[in-house]
Amino acid sequence: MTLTKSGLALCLVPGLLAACSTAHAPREQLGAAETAVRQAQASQAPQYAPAELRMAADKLEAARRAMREEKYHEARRLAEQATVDAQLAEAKARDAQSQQTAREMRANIETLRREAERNSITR
Amino acid sequence: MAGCSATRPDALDEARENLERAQQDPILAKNGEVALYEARQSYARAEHAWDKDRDEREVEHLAYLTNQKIEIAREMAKQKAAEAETQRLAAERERVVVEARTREAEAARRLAESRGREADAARDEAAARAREAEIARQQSERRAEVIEQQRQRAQDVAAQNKRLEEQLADLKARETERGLEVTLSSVLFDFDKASLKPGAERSLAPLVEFLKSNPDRRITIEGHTDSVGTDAYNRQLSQQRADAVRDWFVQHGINAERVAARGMGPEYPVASNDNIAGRQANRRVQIIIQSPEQSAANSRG
Repeated sequence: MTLTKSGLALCLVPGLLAACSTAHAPREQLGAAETAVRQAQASQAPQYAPAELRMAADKLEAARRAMREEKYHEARRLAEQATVDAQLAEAKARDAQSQQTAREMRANIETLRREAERNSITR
Repeated sequence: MAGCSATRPDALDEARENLERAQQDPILAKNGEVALYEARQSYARAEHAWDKDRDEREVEHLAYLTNQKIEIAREMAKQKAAEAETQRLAAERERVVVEARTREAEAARRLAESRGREADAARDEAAARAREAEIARQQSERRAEVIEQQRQRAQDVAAQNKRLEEQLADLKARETERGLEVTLSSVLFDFDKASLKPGAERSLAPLVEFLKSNPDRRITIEGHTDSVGTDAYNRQLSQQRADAVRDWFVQHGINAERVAARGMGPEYPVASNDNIAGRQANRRVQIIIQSPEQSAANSRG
């Protein structure tokens, strides 16, 4: 553990980035982020949570850049954040949708009630 | 160098508070279980990153992940709540639809019923009016019959009265308190005789007709003389003459009970016996036609 600690400390010293190759290229995390963002874009997130989706996409792009620059810790973090951001965007979209459905249902009931009342009066 | 600071990052404490709040929320605990579990995992890694490695950047990153996962848990909880609400509303809508349909059916039934009742009422009214019209018609028919009967009776009575008047006019009857008086002059009889002359028929025939037409009438035949001769003789002569007239009536079909004959003698002169004309006038036969009441009274006597 101390090795890791000193390894991390070393990573923070500019110029010694090469020594941080103890961090692996976060291919798994980046792949997960790609999937998550793609999924969110295919969902209702563009309509209901565009800001959150934008943020996820931006972080994914930054992660890819960081990968190219071999800034693996940064790339991993950005990828992980892009994933949760995309998931949050999707969750917000699903919630907004279900709220909409509930609202429409309430409005429908109201309309039916008013119609029924109108009919019973005229009769 | 930020990484070498010894103070616990605020982000870590904030993440822990956020997580505690979320775990205390019963709705979140129920509907966001999986997401909260993930959040707890992230927080544990954050704590580890601080405790073991004092890696501030990693701690801040993991704290961010923790908070985002808590947000996901909240969104999932809200979504599940909205879905449950939608299900509840669907049931309510079903109820409202059924109720509305029931009310519509009920209203249609009531409308049909009231139309049926209206039709029945109209039919009953028409029948009642028809009955009323029939009753009115029958009543007016009866009234017309009654009026006709009355008219007929009045006509008969009028005709009868006219006939009577004509007959009485023919008879030259005079009204007195004793009834209608018909005076026949003594030329019916020969002088000092009690037998009717043939010409007497002409004078008496109308009376026979009258009596036959009016079976409710009786007559009294009174013979009168002038004052020449004895009272006794004159009474006898006048009686004989009255009897002769009565016999004539009986011979001609009149019931004897209806004809009374009386000899009055000279006692009721109608003119002076001092002259020829007066004595002639006194020598007469008077026939009194009794009124129906008098006839009835006399028949009882």
